Amino acid sequence: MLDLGPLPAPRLAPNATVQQALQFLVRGRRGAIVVVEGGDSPRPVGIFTERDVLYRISGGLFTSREHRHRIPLSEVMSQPPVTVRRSDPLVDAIGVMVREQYRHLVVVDRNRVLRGLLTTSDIVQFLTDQFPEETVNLPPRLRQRYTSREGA
Amino acid sequence: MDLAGLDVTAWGVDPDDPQLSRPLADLPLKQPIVLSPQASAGEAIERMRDGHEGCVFVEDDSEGIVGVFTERDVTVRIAARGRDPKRTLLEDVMTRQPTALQKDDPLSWALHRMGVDGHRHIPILDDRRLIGFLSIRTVLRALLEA
Repeated sequence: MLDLGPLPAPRLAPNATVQQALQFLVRGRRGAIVVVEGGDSPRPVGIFTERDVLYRISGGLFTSREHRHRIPLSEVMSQPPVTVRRSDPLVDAIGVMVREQYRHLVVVDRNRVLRGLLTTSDIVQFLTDQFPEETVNLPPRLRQRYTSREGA
Repeated sequence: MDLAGLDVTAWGVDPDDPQLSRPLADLPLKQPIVLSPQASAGEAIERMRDGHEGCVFVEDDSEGIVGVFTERDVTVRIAARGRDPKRTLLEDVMTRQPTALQKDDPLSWALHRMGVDGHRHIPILDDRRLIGFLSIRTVLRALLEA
């Protein structure tokens, strides 16, 4: 059983506010919040990601203090969440992410209890850990000044 | 995630595989969306949505590319702070001087930079010219199809 590490999953209940969700997104540093029901055995019912914020921000949803503190997460989350199991082959999870353009997959056990959140960054981290000589010891030439125009 | 133990060759990525030394120019790079520092975050958001992209580059006439503004920045620097994107200038919320790679640099360097910086997009240059950018999805797809 390959261990990709703990795969932390910031989580909130469906009745949490948009305000709380935004704070959790920032503090959680995982790019997504898993929306769960069920206390001790939390079961995912949705997911709220940075992409959801990007697609909803134009409605003024996040600028109005009133909205942020009143609208529940259940109204802005994506559902149902796409889930995978720890025992699934990593290559299949990557295939889903690439094909469906997801950056996050919710990890559950066979009782659909939340076990973690898999992100594209976790996968990159895993890969760079696998190939230390290939990917770590090479000093990229950092280019600081560049342009989109010809002949600059 | 089971990967048949630690045998990554099970899915075709061999630590000695020349895949990792492929030049970035071999991969399908994405066309950069480029805006000025005085453009609004609102315009950047619209362009990201319409283009289904996760970032825009910010270019100044005299200095060249001066910053990048990403999907993550929309959450952290705009939404979570209750800012109005239409009244926020990119120069106030972009990340300055994004690190770039050259088109002949190997794929392994892109993986390394994404792992170290935690970024999902890397600008790719031909000497001083921005020719496109690499997304984390492109990198994963390339490794998957190896």
